[in-house]
Parts: sequence; C-alpha cells; structure tokens
Amino acid sequence: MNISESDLRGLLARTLALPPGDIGADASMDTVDGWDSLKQLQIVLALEEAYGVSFAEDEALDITSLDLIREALKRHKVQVAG
Amino acid sequence: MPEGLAIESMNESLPRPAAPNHFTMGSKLSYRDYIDLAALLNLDVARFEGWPEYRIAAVRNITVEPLTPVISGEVMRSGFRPTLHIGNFDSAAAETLNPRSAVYAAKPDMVIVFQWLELASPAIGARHVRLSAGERREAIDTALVQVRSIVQGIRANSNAVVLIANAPLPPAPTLGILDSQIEEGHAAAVLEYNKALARIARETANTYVLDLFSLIARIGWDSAIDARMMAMAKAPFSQKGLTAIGEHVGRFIRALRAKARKCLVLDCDNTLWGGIIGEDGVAGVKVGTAFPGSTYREFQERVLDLAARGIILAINSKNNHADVVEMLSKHDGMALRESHFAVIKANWNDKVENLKAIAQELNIGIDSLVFVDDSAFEIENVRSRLPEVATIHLSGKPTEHAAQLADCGLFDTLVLSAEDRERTAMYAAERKRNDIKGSYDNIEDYLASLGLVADIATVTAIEQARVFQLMGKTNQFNMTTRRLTEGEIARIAEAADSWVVRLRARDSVSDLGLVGVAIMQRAGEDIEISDLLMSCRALGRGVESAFIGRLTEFAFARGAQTVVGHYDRTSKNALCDGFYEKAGFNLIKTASDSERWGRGADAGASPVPAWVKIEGDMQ
Repeated sequence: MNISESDLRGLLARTLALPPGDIGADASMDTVDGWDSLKQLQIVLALEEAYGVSFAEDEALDITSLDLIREALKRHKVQVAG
Repeated sequence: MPEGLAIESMNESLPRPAAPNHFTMGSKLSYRDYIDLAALLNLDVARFEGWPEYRIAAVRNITVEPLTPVISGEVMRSGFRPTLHIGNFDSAAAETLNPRSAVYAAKPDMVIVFQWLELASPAIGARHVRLSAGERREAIDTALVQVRSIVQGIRANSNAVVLIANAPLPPAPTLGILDSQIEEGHAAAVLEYNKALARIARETANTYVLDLFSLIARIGWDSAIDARMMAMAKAPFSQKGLTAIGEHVGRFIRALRAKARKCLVLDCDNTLWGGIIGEDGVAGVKVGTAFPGSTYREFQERVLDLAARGIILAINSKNNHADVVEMLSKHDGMALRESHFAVIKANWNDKVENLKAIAQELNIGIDSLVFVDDSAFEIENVRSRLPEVATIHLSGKPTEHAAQLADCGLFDTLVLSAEDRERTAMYAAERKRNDIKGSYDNIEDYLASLGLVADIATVTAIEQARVFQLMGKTNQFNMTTRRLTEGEIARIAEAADSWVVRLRARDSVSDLGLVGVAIMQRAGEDIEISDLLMSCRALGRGVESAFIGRLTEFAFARGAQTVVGHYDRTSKNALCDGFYEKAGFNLIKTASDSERWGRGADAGASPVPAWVKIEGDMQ
C-alpha cells in the first residue's frame, strides 16, 4: 500500500488538532506542542485504522516522530511517498 | 439547535475536511472520521460560533483519553459545542466527593463514570477462582459501595446527568468451562454487580447506565478490546470499541437534549413488503412467514415496537390508495393494519409534499418526522429539500432492514409514559371524535357534547418524568421553549413561591393524559408565568383557555398584583401568537423576539369556556 506524505501529516495534524503546516518533515513528540504520551495512543489508533496496520507493543509507544512512524509503516508494508 | 449543519465550503487548512455526512445522523463514522470532526473545533472555530455548549466530565480508573475525539464528535453531531474535562487517573471517589474538585469546577452537563471492574476490584476481575464464598460476596459489595459513593457524591454536588459504565463479561472466566455450570461463577459475579449497579442508577435521580456490557457483547470482546493498549496504558478499547461507546453516549445526549422524533413515515413497496404492489398485485408481493417475506414481516414487527413506544405511524407511498388499503386490510402476512396509521398518503404526489401534509395533519413539526424508504432517489429528494426530516435509507438487503430501524437511535427516550403507550389508541379516538364533529351544527355544541375536563394541579413527584418529557419535545405551543432537566423541575417544584403546574385533559371519548405544563414564580408583587406549553393534540377545544384561566385565578388568590406571561418567539412556536392577548393580557414590553404580557388583579381571572369543567388542587 502506498500513502502520501501529506495524507500522513494531515492525519497527524488533525489528531493533534493542529493546522497541517505545524507538522514539519522532522516533527516529533519533542518538537510539536500537544504531542504527549496520551495523544500518542490516539495517533497509534488513528494510524492503524487509517492504514490497516497493527503495531506491536514496542512499536506503538516508540513511534514518537514522523521519521519513526514512516519506518514503522514501511515495516508493515505501507510506503510513504511524495 | 444551530441550523445548517451541512458543510458548504471546504476549509483550506484541512486536506481531508470532515465530509458533510459526518454531521448527518445515520452515517456510521470510523475512529479517523471522529478525529477529523473533533479537529474542526480548533481548526474552524468560526463554524461553532453561537452553538450552545455541552460539557462532559469523565471520572475514571482507566485511560479514557482516546475516547475524547469520539465523544466530542458525538456532541457536535447532536448540535452542541463540546467541552470535555477528564478527571485524574483513578481518583473518581476523591474527586466526586469533594465539592471543590476540578470536576465540578468544569460545571458539567454530564458526568460519565468509567470504573473498570477488573481494576476497581481485581479480586473479582482477575482472581475470582481464588475467593471463598464470603470473600466473593465482600468483593462485589466493596465494588458497589465505591460506585454508590461516586454517584451519590456527584448527585450531592452537581445537577449533571450521570452515566455509569457497567462491566463487560470476563472473556476468560477464571474457572474455565466450569464457570457456566455453577451458581457462584465468575461471569455470575459480574452479572450480579451489573444488576446492582442498574438499581443504583434507577434509584438515583438523573442517573443512567452506560451499557458497556451490551455494547461489548454485540461487537465481541476481541474486537472491542485492545489487550495491547490495556496492558501498556490501561486504555482498554480498540477503535471499534471506542466508536461504539461514543455512539452510545451520543444517543444519551440526543435523548436528553435534542427534540424527540414523534412520527415514523414509511414507504410501502420494498419497505413494508417485497415487490411492487402495482405490478405484482396483493397476491404477488412478499410478506409473511416464509423467506424473503419474513424479513419484511420482521421489519413490520420493529415498526410495531416503535408504535408501542408512542411513535405515530404514517405512510408516504407512490401507489394507488386503494391498493395500499387492500394490502393493509386483506393480506394475512401483514403485521401492520390500517388502524395503526394516523395518516396514509398513498398517491402519485411528490413525497416531499406528502411529508409536509402529514406534519400539518398531525399538527406536529416537520422536524418531528423520520422518513424510511429503500429508494436512493426519494431519500435524496427529502434530504436536500427537507433537511429537518431525519431519513433512513434502507440498504436494499431486506435481511438488514429490521436492524437498520432498530439501531437508528432516532427515537431514543429515557422515559416511557403511560401516554406514550396509549398513543396509537388515542389517535384512533381522535378519528372517532372527528366523526362526531360532523353531526353538530356549531363547534360550541360539539365541544359541549364532549364533556371536557381540565384537571389542573401542582405536579407530584411521580408526574415529574412526564413533565420533563413534555417540556423536552413540545415546540409549537410552547411560550418560551425552555428545556429543563428533571433535577431543575424538581427543584422548582419544591421551592417556596414557585409552582410547577400540570394539566390533564379528558373527555367522554378518551383520557388525553398529562398534556400541559406551566411554571410560575413570585417576582415581587407579581407572579410570572415563565413557562407555558401544551401538547398540540389537546389544542383547539378551549382547554388552553381553561388552563390560563385557572392559573390567573390561582395567582390572584395568592395576592399577585399582576400576572405576567412571557412569550419568546422561535421559528416553531407561531401557534402561540395572540394567546395572551386572547386571554385578556396587555402587552407590557417587547424586545426583538421576546414579549411580556400582563393582566392586573382588577381584571380578575381570564375567562374559562363554559364547556370545560375544571378540577384539581393547586398548592
């Protein structure tokens, strides 16, 4: 499955209730306001439902940046393009 | 309720804007849809200007944060701007018993209690098999004491509606397959807990069960629960579980705050029966005990369930009237008969025009109607031209139709009064009354022949549920359209110098039941009527004049210099125009859509029509 970078960032932005412009290519829990461990649960649930994947325990809590999310999606055969 | 829920333009800051149907009831949303919807609150603030607020607080011993977009979304779908407050983790008792806690500072309209039994009582949840009979009893009781003190704490400190989540069945009882064979099993302990929890809810005002047990039974433990999230974050629910809980909470909000739907309007061909009567004939259409006719019969049974709950039935069908009547009277497979329907519009007119005519004949608002059809064309026609009408588009797979109706949630109520149960019979009596009308020369003679009695009295505790219900759903003859909660009504009824008065009406044909409410309070030397409303089916017989006559008589007897009546115009209550004037009140003050009318003590009570007998005590 292929998804677009803007779709991924859009989903992340809306989960955090932020304008998509606030999610840069290097967005992470450390750089984005409101991205905390509770929001992380919503992000994981939203990603899983939107892209039809199921993250393992260690992945779910660890994918706290856009880079790590892209890598994890790739492991689950979801390619982020563009 | 704000108008224009449909989204006309796409906000550029949203690459995937919430689609218009996210706001439409009847469309099922995914977890992602709810996230999109909830994001609008921050990203499109202007949209929600003027929306009334609805505040929800949750107290909990689990991580309920993933529920926030779902619950916010459901509040928005109900026409309110959500504000959510989540209590501290595992602090439900401490927070609810403390009147100064943040939970009450949030001034919630609703408090949801999520006490996950497995965590609240690990003894029952996880170690049941290791308990002695005495320990088992004690563990159940301890869990219930906790719930009871939380609920009572909320009740003592807030008027909020309370929802208490009950417990799902244990997926793997600690006794294994033996569990179902013995009396004091693990699942049995959970059932016992739920039963007692339901009793606590019944015995506490404004408190209801959030039925996790049934929700999870329906979708199944394995798909409702995310064991991984539970283990890592004490967040038990999967996306499916979260959306199911949110939808359920939404049904409560709408039952409590939205205008109730009163009338189910049904298409005929491929809705009430399979096939087309104009082509297949009475003998050729399918309805009855054998498949596929059985699926249509099943649908009709669900329609009858709604009739038993007081929903008025009507037909809106493109057919010859005689064909539809023949089906209703002759076909043995039918459960629905002509007598079940208050109006039958079987003709070749536009269905939108028929819907308007049905609302007019029944004297109810167009927004009280729910229209069911299998045709996408007809549904779209109604959705686009009469957006106030709720629609159910049958899937075209008749095995699903009955469930679509049963699951629609559009007719949810939290009370079921004797009047509701009698309504189908009342409409039949109304038809009979109209027959009598034909034989009198003038309307006064006719009204005198009815033997009308207006029983007017201050409300009893038992009647308050019906008063709440009537205040919630009366739109047309409602002078100020205030929607009070049961708690607020009880407080006014108990306070000194304020009165909640109810009107019961009956005649020689039937008892109409409790059909009118007025709320009065002393204001200096005057007594004000802040609320006055009547069910439309009781109007037009002089009972409303008798009501205001008795209210003014009472107010003057209590020393009022002037009786002041309020009238706030809405888009729905034009029927109230001229009411106070006709009762001999003078306009005191008018400000945009709000008027104050007064009648002085020197004028005496408003006149009561000669044909209405007044009964009842006011105190």
